[in-house]
Amino acid sequence: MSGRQSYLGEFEQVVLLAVVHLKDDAYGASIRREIEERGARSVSIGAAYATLDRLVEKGYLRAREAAGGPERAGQPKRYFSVTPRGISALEDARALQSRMWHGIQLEKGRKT
Amino acid sequence: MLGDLAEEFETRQRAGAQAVRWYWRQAIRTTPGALWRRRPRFGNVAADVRFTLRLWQRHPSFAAAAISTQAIGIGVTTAVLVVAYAVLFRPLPYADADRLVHLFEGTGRRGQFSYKDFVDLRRANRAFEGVAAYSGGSRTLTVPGAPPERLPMVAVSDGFFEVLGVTPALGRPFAAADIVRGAPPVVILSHQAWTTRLGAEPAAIGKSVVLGGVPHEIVGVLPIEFAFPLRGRPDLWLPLLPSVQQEERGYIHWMDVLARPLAGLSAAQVRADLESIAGVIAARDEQSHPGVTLRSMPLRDIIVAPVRPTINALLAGVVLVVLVTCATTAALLLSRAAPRRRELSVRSALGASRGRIVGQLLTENVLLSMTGATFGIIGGHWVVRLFAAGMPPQQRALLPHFDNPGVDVVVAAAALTIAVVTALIFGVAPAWRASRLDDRDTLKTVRVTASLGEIRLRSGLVALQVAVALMLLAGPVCWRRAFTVCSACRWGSIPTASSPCA
Repeated sequence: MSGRQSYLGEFEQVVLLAVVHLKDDAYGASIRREIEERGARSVSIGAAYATLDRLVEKGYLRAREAAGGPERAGQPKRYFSVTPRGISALEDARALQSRMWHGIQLEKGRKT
Repeated sequence: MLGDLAEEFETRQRAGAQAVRWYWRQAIRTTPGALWRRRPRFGNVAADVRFTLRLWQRHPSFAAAAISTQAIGIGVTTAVLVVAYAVLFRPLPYADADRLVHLFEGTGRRGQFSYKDFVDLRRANRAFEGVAAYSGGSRTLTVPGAPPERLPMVAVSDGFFEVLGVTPALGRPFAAADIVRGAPPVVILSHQAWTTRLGAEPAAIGKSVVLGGVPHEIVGVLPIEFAFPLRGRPDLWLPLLPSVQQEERGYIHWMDVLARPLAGLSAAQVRADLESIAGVIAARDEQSHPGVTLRSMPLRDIIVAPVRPTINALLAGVVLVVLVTCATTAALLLSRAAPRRRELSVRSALGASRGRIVGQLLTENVLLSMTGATFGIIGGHWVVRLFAAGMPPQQRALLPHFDNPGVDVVVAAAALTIAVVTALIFGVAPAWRASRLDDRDTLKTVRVTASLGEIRLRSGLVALQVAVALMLLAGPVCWRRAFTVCSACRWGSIPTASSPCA
């Protein structure tokens, strides 16, 4: 694990994982659909793009432009892919979750 | 993002899933955040400012030409704004000055009242909390150790200074007992008369000065900021005492009247009260006052009426000057567009968006305008002061706040705002055109020349400059008669459609 660093937020993890799932087909609309289908949660386009831009600024994602088709009214598509730094951040986040969950058995309705 | 919205809209529309509602809900939720993420970064502005200053160092002649163009244009604008603001907009130096009115009697020369009519007006009115009369003239002041001097004088009725809301800086205003035949002669001095003729003596109150060979006790000295543009710069204020003949009804109308309407009264109510007083006057003296009418006009309108057309013409001229300045600056910027195309193409090739390039060019334009405006505001300030200093004092005193004119915060802010707004408006077109780049062709070209569009735009700007310059030159010729007539206007003439001062 790297030294002093900021950990991924919950939604940032979700977005990065969606990009990993989609491989070469990860762009705004597809990422949003992937999260809604896998995660059973509603995601606005604005929220998705805000997080994607933030992840690009942090260096966890890289973006490339591609031409869009008529179904997009000619607007270009921006494809995302996870960088090695982004992979490292995901692994760190999973390791942290695992350490925090270790030894915990939750029973529904029980007060801790 | 727009593409994603369009794509999902198509998908939902095919599925019949309330696509339009979904689309607008997404657009409304997404837009504020998208605009915020695309906001201008101040870090970019600081870098653009540093770059602009380096650019000016490399091209000092262009910078000097553009800045001096702005300086001259904004300087002229500032000078006119100083005059217009001082004369037309700055509050008169009286309490609640907007409520003050000047009254006119229809039968009087220049709307003046006779003494008896003034007495009737004071007694019968219900609409005014104060009515006062004044009449101008001059007196010879004799001070020991100095030659006799003829000084401008205004005689006023009791309550005059109370109607204006002015309190003497020393002593007191006239009391009713001062304005009685046989009362000891008294005088109130202007601040200037007190300082120049009496050496600003603190114990001047109670001392005597000889006016017209008669000793007058000094009972008050007016504040330094007090001005009375309707009578220029009077040094002496005396009680308004009519002669026996002047008290006769039907005598010549010789008094001017000011009034302060009661707070909250409308113009219609004031008019109705004046009509009723006119009826009282006519009923008592039908022979001398057949069909007499009384009217009121705001005091500021009376003061500025002779000069308003001139100032309006100057303001219209300023608009044209600003137009020419902007066109000249835009043309200068366009002339720099071709030589800079390679530099801008390199920026574009390195990843700068068109918006970023336009933002940089607009920053250069605004910085140029603000620098020129700063010099222009300083220059305009001194031009106005020099102009005012060259005017005869009595003429200068006819314009409110023109004793010591200069740029204040309001005028400076207005001039800077004009500079920045016009820089943005007239800078957008050259910036947008300059940012239209074909990186590969431009980078391969040995010598970049102006495009056909740039040449057309520059020609249009030159045509605009010539047209506006011709208008500015032709204007004074066409308006010469109006200027001649307006400058011959005397205060007190009631503005009407046929009056030269209308």
